[in-house]
Amino acid sequence: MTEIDHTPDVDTTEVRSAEIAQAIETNTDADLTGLTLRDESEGVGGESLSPFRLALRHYKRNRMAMVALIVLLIVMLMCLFPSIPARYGEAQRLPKTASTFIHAPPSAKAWFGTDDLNRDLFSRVFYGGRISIMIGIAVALIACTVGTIVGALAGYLGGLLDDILMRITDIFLAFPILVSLLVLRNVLAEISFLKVIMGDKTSVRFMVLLLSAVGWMAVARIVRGVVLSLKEREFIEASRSVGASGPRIMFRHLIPNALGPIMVSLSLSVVGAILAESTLSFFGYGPSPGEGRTTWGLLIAQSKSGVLSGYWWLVVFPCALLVITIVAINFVGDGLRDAFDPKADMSRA
Amino acid sequence: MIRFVARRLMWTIPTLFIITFLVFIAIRIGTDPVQSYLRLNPRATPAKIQQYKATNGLTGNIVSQYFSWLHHFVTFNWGRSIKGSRPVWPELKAAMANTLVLGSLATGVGLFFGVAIGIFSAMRPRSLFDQTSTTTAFVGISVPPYVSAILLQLFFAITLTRWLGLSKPLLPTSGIYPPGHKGFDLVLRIKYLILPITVVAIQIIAVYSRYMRASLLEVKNSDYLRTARAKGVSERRILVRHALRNALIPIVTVAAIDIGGIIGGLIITERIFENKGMGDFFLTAYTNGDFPQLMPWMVFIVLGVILANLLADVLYAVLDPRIRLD
Repeated sequence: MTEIDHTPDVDTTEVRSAEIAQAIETNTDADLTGLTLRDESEGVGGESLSPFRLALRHYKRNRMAMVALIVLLIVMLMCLFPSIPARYGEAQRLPKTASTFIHAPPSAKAWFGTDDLNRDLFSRVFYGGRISIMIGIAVALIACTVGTIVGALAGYLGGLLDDILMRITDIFLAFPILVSLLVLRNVLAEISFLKVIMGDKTSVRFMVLLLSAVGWMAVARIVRGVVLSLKEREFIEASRSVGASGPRIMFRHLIPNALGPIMVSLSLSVVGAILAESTLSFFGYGPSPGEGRTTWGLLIAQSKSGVLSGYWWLVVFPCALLVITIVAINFVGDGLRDAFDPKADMSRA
Repeated sequence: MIRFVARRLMWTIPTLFIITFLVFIAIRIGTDPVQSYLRLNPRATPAKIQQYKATNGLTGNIVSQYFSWLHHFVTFNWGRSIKGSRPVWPELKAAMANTLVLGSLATGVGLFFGVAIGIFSAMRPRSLFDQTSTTTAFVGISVPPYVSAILLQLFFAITLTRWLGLSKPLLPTSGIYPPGHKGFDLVLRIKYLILPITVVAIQIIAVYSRYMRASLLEVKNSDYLRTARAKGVSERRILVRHALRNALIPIVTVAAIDIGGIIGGLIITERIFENKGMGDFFLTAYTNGDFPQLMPWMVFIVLGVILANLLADVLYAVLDPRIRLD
């Protein structure tokens, strides 16, 4: 099998020299990142790395996206290891004070106040975040894997598979997402042979699979579009002309070249899943993770009853953390889009 | 033009058939009306259940059940809800009226401000106004409607009232009219609508100011604007006659297709502000597993989505003479 150089768009030598010049001009940092990237994606095939290095450099220059990435990493680390920021246990009730025994406002003892069982909200926000973020990541990974494979197959093979895929996604994407999720939730819970895989209607696993069942469609459509435009390009034709098999073209050429849009949809899927989970929880159709445990959606849902009693901390803090996380992921996604799209700079003027 | 619309309208009929059939199966499997009936009437005798099945067309296989449902639907025999056994149509009609008021007002307000902000942003890219508005819009699309709704509720019901030392909230935070109110009162109606409209409009403004900005920026770089400028057309005329007309085309079509997103926002908003509309109707019917209420609701949503797509196609052709439909 002959190895074919298939760098799209950019002239490799030109990029290379520009990059070397840049590396000399600034510091050795660019060189280092280049090395790590090459190690990571060796399978992609030696020469085609330059777009990714370019993208990385582009991304690092985007200040907003860098700040968002740092904020996101901090929030995610705190939520994935909640026992580090948490000052009390997840279900631990604080001893009553002189003035109140439940619904204590924010104080030095409980920074975000306490809830109806006098549990520390500051700790619970991070414990809740763990489940919400893990649902988001799990859904995004499943949805992007399935969506990429289905979308690439549909785009590459075309024909009946493509038609069916387009019609199904058309129907689902035209409906309000909340309606699709609620209807599908009941359907999946009723089909008996799925029970083994899906688990109970209120389990976290059910929620992950339900959100993935809807989430892959948007990814599939994006990947299909990219593959449709890529498959007419010369480097695909060239590799086909030397006898590359269909799977090889798909996994070594088409999907690696669509990685930019796939990574952007990965970030969008995380946002979509976190929002969908919290919206469903808000209306009482979310997962119930167990006695004393919570999610962001549940925290906000339970704060509903506190609004009119004036327990503002129950509303403000979970909402703030949820919004900060989503804003950060959106900024990261936006930065990725700019980094992978050479035209983005111009259109942003 | 008329031929195109007629042909598209003809296509909507088979589309409607197929989608309602799929929706029927999905809801029939997901929320079995017999089970809901049993849950609400736990002591129903087998004869009673049989009678319920027969009168509501729930016998035979699923295809014949669909056609039985379709027959009932087209002959306007919509039956009664399982919970409370109330006729479906009057409640659905009232809900639809409320949603149309809230939805159209919110969409109008949202599109107006969204487009205006987008235009001002694109006129001076990278200016202070542009940077503030794009960043705000970005945060705006990241705030789910129920978060903005519950925060506004908190602010108007509690915080503002305390700060200003008022005896009652400045704006009502739930319902359509105060409890016990009868008849129509424009001032009260508007007062009760302000917060729900704000929540739905925030989403629309955030999305469409970004679309509008990107669309206008793209048009601004086009050759025909340079030509117009070279001919000595005034900047004002260039913006209004040349740039805006072309920049608005994608916005209008996106807005028409995006009806699903707007309905989604409405469902959430209506529930939180206890605005008895389509969203509230759906969530209540869903919670009760009320099949006779869910199906007509779904048909209207499907119809709305299909018609909005048709509208998008037609508008696209009307606004852009370069597109030929036939």
